[in-house]
Amino acid sequence: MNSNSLSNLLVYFSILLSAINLVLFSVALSQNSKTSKTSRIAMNLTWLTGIFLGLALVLRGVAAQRAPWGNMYEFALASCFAIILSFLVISIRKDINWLGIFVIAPVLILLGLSVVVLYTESGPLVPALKSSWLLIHVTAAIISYGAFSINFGLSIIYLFKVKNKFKKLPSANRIDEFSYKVVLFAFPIWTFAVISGAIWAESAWGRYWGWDPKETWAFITWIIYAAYLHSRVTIGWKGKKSAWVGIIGYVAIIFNFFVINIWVTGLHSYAGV
Amino acid sequence: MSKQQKIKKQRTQTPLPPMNLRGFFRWLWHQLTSMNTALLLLLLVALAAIPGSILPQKTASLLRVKQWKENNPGLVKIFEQLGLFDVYGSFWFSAIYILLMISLIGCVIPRLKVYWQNLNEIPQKTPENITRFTGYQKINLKSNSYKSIQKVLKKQKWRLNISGNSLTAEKGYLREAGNLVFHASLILITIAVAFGALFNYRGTIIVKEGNGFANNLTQYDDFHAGKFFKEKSMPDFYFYLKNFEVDFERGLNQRGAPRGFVASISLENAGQVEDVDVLVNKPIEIDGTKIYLTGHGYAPRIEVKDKNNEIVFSDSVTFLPQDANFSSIGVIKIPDESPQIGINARFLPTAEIDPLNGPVSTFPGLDDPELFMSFWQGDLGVNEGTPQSIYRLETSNMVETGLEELKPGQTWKLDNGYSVTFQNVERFASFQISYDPAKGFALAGAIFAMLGMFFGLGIQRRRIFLKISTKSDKSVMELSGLSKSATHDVGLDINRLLVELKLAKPFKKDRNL
Ligand code: HEM
Repeated sequence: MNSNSLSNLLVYFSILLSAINLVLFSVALSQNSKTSKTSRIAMNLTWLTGIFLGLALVLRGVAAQRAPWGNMYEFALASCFAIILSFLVISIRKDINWLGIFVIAPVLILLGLSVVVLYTESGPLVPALKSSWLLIHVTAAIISYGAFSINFGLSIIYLFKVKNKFKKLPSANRIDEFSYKVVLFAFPIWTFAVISGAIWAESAWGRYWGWDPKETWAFITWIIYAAYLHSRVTIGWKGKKSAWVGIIGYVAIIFNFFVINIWVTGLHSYAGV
Repeated sequence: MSKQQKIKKQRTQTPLPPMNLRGFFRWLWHQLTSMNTALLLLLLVALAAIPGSILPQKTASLLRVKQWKENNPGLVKIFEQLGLFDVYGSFWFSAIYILLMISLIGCVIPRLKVYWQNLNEIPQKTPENITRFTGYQKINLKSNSYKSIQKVLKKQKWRLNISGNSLTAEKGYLREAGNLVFHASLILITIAVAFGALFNYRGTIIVKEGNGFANNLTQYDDFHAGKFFKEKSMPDFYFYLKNFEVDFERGLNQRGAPRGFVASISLENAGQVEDVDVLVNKPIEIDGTKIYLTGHGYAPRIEVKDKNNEIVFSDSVTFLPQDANFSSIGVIKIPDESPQIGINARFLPTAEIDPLNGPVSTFPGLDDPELFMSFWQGDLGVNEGTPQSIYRLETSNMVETGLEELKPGQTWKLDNGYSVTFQNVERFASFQISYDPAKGFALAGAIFAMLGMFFGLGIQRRRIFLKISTKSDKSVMELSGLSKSATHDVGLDINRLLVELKLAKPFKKDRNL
């Protein structure tokens, strides 16, 4: 079995594990005790999913002999890995098992889409993508996407929580503050991703900014999250209003990833979708 | 709330502008630099950027704009007037970001002044009652250790205001500095972008193997320059394309995807000649002007002879690639014959006959090249003075006199006496040449923005209040804290101080959110 098909196998296992986890996390959420046995099992399975996805990425990289984010399939896989990784890293310090269902559900959807719609065999890069700035730029983008996804999950939970659903979750205030901290972490990394992208564009296309659709939406995303931070610090928005700004920011990210990559032609089209 | 009350409330929120001119401008300035306006402008910039990412833009591809207009003739006029095909150069987009910049400048300058004046600011005096602040506690001290407490606080880099038995310690002054640097850098980046747009130039050229290019305006196929660009300022270089090499993926997976391009050129600048390679992602630079390799294609060499066997045309012709497998189209116009001659041609580097679509190219490399041609005679329409595309044949006043396909080396003899020979295939490379004098400033702005953000977001302003009271031989310390941001727990700072004084154990982190 070559590393490419081994990688695929691991992705299938991850999908299976995530599906089981989705059930476990929902059961845990409906149980009474805060850290039930079910939720502990689910957390362990999440660690396993993270390891599988990480290995799947490494094997893709080995197959192609480059960083494993050269096309949309790999980028989507890497984003799922980043989302799970952010969740796991936070879970070391804070008990956030209750967040699990909102992390696993989007990951499951994204993994399913990757396998069914976005899949491409691994292969070398087209020349324009051969650059060490690509590695830096895309790594930063993936990390911040992972963190923004967590913020998105928290925003949704917040909106449910204030409607008095999910009584066992932490208080609405705590969720709100925590989701703000996540943006505080993600925003500078996203800024760096945009800047390194501009440096790469300068060396590949002869201009650092050209309002290419992908660049435009990166800018829009940046502005929305800047507005998120601003509105909190300077005019004291929080809670519901902030949650909605976070959701709008995430819509921009999703739009950039799916709509712009697939339907709009620009310079940023990947090899084989 | 009744309607009247509502109106009253609005009045108090936004007072009407004063009637005199000075007052009016002050009012306007105040509105513009208010936080609400800044936020509104931020969201407006984001919204205004959207149409340009969905509609085709002139700055990206004139061709696609033209196609869109042909498909939606009804909307063209309004869209054109609104500048929707050049959103990022339109008056309304510029208006929004100029307002945002004014707002930003109006924000930064007063804060800079305040920051400067308070550079060596000492924390405010300790309030009378410190029990109402965060993490208030009372601790018995064995001996009077006020001096050693101050020492520890200094070691932990707090700024102190000591008055008698009470003190205020404050930390996190770099936050404001970071924020100011960040916002000022945004201004620098915007100025660099605007300045670059006025003085830059950018052009594309197509160079066939064995041909050359001299850097002056007449040689460009396509050229954009800023308003203040001067032709004199262009560096005076010349290069000659010796060889262009390209490598395609031959494996089944991603077959035909490009794997490497190398354009070997011989460059002449300021009397010196050197051989250099231009690669994708590796431009070469001459006096601030950069040469990028951006694309390539085929240039079949074609010879046309008349019935007396005299050559009427002989050249390699650049063909425009149409798809990933480089099926390409090209046109030959021979206006000096009568009737005039035009040839419409399609070149396939690896030709195969598809049962549905006819001849197609199945691989971008030169595995089995073939040239499909139609020969036209009549009026080319080139004499009417309207500029024509060199890649399009205007056939409305012409008749087709033959169709043929050729492999390299083959000759096609037409009934009308002409003969067309497909001699061989050469390659061309396309280059982008660009110059932007302000991009170094934009980069500097970006780096400072990152640094500023690091401090502006990472550092929190917070205070510790501390009081010592001594009764007979016993001392009691009271302390509490205040954080300016909701995300920072000043209790941690208090704990850190107490740990250093050996008065407490480090907190165990609370796993609950
Ligand atoms: C391109 C536009 C702008 C962007 C991207 C931007 C971004 C930011 C960011 C990321 C922060 C940090 C938020 C935090 O501490 O959590 C911030 C803070 C701030 N900004 Fe802006 N900003 C912009 C324009 C403006 C304008 C126009 C004003 C004034 C009208 C302004 C005034 C402030 C103030 C007062 C703060 C609070 C600083 C503090 O933490 O004490 N900004 N901004």
